[in-house]
Amino acid sequence: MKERLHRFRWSRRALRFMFIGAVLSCGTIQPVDAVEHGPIFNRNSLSRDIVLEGDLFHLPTVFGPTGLTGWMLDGTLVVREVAKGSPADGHMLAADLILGVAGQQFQEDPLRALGEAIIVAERSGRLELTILRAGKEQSVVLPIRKMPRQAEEWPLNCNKSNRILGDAADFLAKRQHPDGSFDTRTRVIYGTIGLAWLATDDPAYLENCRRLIHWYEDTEQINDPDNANWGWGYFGAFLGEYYLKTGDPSVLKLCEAISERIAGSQYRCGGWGHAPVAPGAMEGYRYVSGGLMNPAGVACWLALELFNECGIEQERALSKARNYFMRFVDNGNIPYGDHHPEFNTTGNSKDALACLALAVKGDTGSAELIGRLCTDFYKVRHHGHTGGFLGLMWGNVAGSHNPHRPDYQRMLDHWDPILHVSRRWDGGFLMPQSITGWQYLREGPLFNTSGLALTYATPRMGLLMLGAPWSVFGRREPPADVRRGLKLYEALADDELLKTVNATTSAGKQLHKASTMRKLDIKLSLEKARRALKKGNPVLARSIARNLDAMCGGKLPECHDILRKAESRRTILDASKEYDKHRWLIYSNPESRLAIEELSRRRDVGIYAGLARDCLAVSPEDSRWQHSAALLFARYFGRKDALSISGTQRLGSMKGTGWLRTLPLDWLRTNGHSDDAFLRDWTPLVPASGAPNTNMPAPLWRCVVEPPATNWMQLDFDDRDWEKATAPLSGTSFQFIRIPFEASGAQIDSCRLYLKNDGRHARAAVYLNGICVTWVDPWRDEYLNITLAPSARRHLKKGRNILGVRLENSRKFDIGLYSDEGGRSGTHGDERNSRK
Amino acid sequence: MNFLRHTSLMRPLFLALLLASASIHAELELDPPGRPNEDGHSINAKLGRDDFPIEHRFAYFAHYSPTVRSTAAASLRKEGAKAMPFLIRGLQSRDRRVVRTSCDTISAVRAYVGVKVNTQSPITAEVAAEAIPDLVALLDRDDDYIQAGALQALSRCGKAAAPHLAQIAPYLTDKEWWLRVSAAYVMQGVGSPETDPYAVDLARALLSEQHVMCLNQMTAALRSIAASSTNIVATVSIIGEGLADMEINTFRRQGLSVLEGLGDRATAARPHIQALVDEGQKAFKETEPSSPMHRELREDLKNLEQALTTIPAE
Repeated sequence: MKERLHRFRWSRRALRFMFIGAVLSCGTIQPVDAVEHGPIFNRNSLSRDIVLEGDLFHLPTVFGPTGLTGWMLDGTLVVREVAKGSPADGHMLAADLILGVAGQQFQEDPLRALGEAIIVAERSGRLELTILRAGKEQSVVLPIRKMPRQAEEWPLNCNKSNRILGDAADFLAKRQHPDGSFDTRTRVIYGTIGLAWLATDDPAYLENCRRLIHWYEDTEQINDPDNANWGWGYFGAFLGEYYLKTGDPSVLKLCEAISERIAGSQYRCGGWGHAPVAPGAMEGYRYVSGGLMNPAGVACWLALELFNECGIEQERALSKARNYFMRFVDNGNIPYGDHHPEFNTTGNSKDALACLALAVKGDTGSAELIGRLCTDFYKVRHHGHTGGFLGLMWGNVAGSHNPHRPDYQRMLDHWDPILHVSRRWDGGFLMPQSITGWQYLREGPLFNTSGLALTYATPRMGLLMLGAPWSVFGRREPPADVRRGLKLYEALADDELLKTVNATTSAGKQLHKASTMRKLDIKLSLEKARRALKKGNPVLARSIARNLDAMCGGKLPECHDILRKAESRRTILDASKEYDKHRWLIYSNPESRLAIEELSRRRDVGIYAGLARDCLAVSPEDSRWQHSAALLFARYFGRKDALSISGTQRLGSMKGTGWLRTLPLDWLRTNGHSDDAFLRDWTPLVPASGAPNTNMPAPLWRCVVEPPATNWMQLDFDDRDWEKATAPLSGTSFQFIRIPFEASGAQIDSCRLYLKNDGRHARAAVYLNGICVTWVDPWRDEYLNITLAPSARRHLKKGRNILGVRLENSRKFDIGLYSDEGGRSGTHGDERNSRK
Repeated sequence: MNFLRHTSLMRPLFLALLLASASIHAELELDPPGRPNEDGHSINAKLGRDDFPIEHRFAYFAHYSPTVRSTAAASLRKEGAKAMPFLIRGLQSRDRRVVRTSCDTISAVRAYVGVKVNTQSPITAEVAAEAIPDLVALLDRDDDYIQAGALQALSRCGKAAAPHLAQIAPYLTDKEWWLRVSAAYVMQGVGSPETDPYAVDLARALLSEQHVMCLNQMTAALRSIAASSTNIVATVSIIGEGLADMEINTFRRQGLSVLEGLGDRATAARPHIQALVDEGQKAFKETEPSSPMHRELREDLKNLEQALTTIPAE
């Protein structure tokens, strides 16, 4: 009996696999209607304030260094925002459609085509776009910044690459808060930012590194439990490289603390999971969940190798890590857990970080071999399980260890147009979601900018992992004159050091370089601190002076002077606390808004008056201001006080931007996060069949599969021969649906759509009187409610209107149109609204 | 064989081998995965073509990329017996990449997260058996990855690998789990009655196993062997006694699973299981209901009680 049951279970499982296989294979087939019926997006019928919903629209895509961001709809680039002061400001408008570039219409891949055009256009500083505005095609020339010609062997010997790297490093520096922190909670990003600064080999950014490190230490970020091993690994790698470059003794304590955490959270096999094993729990037996996670583990190994170079020993943990990871070398790719070597074409950063760890260890042969693997199959490196950005960025970095330069160059050249189109006009990077997936973009451009800056920094060999020489500050015994020089270095006797240490040896040369860099670092830092004091930013001045003082062992009297002056600006210091406390809450907490408004008016709060004004000037819908979770929250679930914007961000960070998908509508309703209560009180102009608590009869839609005449969404179109059906409708049955409704003048002023679009690859374009007002990409089986913008509502008129929807691949589609003005006189179709 | 010692004969032979090897490597150098070859196709696409000669596909066994090697292995595997002369040459190669890829071609084991075996491989047990002497010889190599590959290939040879079980059994307790799991494959591949004398070794290995993949494979092997074995008294006794020392849940469940598979032939283990139930119930009552251990114990008790219902009393 049991055997039969077992067999039955197996046959059910087999059927399930067959079914899944069938579904997946269907998914890979191009949607039939896309071929037969053409694109569902009609360029000539687009509202200026179209509302876009779905995975692809959480964050707008960057359209290169133009200042434009927007979306890609059916091969057309739609502008959403034009940054003030950017090259596009004054030339382009929101809702402009970019149809082509340099006189050529876009073909298969508009983003790549735009990127290629930017590469050429940056030489002349003129980017010619073909756009469609208000139905008229026209040509616009954007005055983008002129850049030097890109060298064939970029980023090697390439002035343009140097400039891009400098811009990216400056971008990150500008986004650093005076105390050293950033607007992100992902500790991995702290690590990549620090590495990007160090990789520039420019002493101007050493102060930023120091500020980040001391903020991390002072605020005990080390204790944050979110993805601990990831954070320790990435930040540890940065910390190790920083020490090896500067010999700054003030960071050694933190190095030791992180190395201990890493060693303490290692599994017995030698790898690591997402986080340390909980006390009493079994370690590492399962895959991913509670078990090994080699992409995080290999970063921990890299950090341990660097700490080992610093002279911080975790001998046992390092030895275990080497045994564990190095047995994959030349046998296959590193898997996710303690498995057999794999043979796939994506690395998800595992192989690339192993390459860097091996380079630090001094195993050049193995590093070169993995470097070669990183440049193989470069077109698909970003695919695979969570591969995305991590695989791409580390692949670009580790690929520099490939001794076969043409292969490395081929990989870079392949990604070059995408890097160009991802580069913002302010120097940051944000890659298209279609390439890396949204999970790497949800914290804004910090991660992409720091990660991609490393690509441009590889030729500088500013990091040990990128081929910098052994550090004189590390565990290796230097020659006698360098040993003496190190004592002079410690005593800040740089002039004497430069005179006495022989600069012809490798170690001597290094010490000379470190000494010169530090001199410049101190000079620049002191200048920056004094400037900050003058500008009314004592928090920055204080941070700089404190950290510099710690690095120099209290030997710089200038630091004490600056500290004293900074501490005396008590009013501004207090204002900074107010600002930090309230700035995220201005759209959710009235008190916070008042506090920020108050700050913006005061004259005695230094830079914080301006910062408060900037904060108030950015709308909650602006993608600059918010992380996507907050953006989604504001858009879909109203600005409820119950869950503040910062709370939502926290939720967003924890769950990823997909948190909406993980929370069922019922849960959101119960917890007061869903504002669809309007359905009970508002007047349905067209009721949704799935709306709760409505006693409305289901409206009859007119539906057709075959593509009708192009004016099918217009009011005067004759749909008498179309079929009749009630919602929910299936896009596989009906591709075009429409319904007439009546609206009074008052009802037009407030309109909301309430809709659900369920299905893999499902898409829908919603038209009001022939104008596309909403575009919906796949969503889970949940309803969205969408407030129509005034410009979209303008297409409605008093009396008879038409609501039309073009569907594609929808498994289940339901839609309603609601108004809260003008009583309850709205009607739909031929049936009177009976709801009282 | 004396003529081989003759240096005048050996020299040209050596030179020819050197040239052949150089030509292979020259071609590989010109044809890495990322670069389109002369036809504008990637290596993997080229390796998938039927008109690409076997010897050329075999040359890619030495490629630096494990992905290309894996594709080359799949490409030769589909040739079945026709590929065997190349594979035997590969097993004798000095290049460890060629050796391991030859093993992988025979074994049809594909590693991804877990392990998948291509059961439809045209290299059947009868075809693979031809390689047994070379595969057994590889067990002497001081290279875990090669030894594991050889064992996996031997697991494909079915009963023909039985004479070598004595040499294979010690790998069940090797410190590298790649070898332990591979040895368990061979045991399962050979099956009862040839493996009956080793069921005890397998049971002991199971009890001390710490790697979950090995644990699963050893359980599968032991279940399959014990199911048709006529002499399982010692095995039942070892597992029954050993249950107490196994970590609860993930690990103990596997031991119980072997016993459950034996049904009334595992009756001797019932007292051990009953003792664990009694002990577990006591511990369960003493632990904090909200603690993870409470949950673990509940799960373990469920497994033990399930085993008691499956294994009948005498």
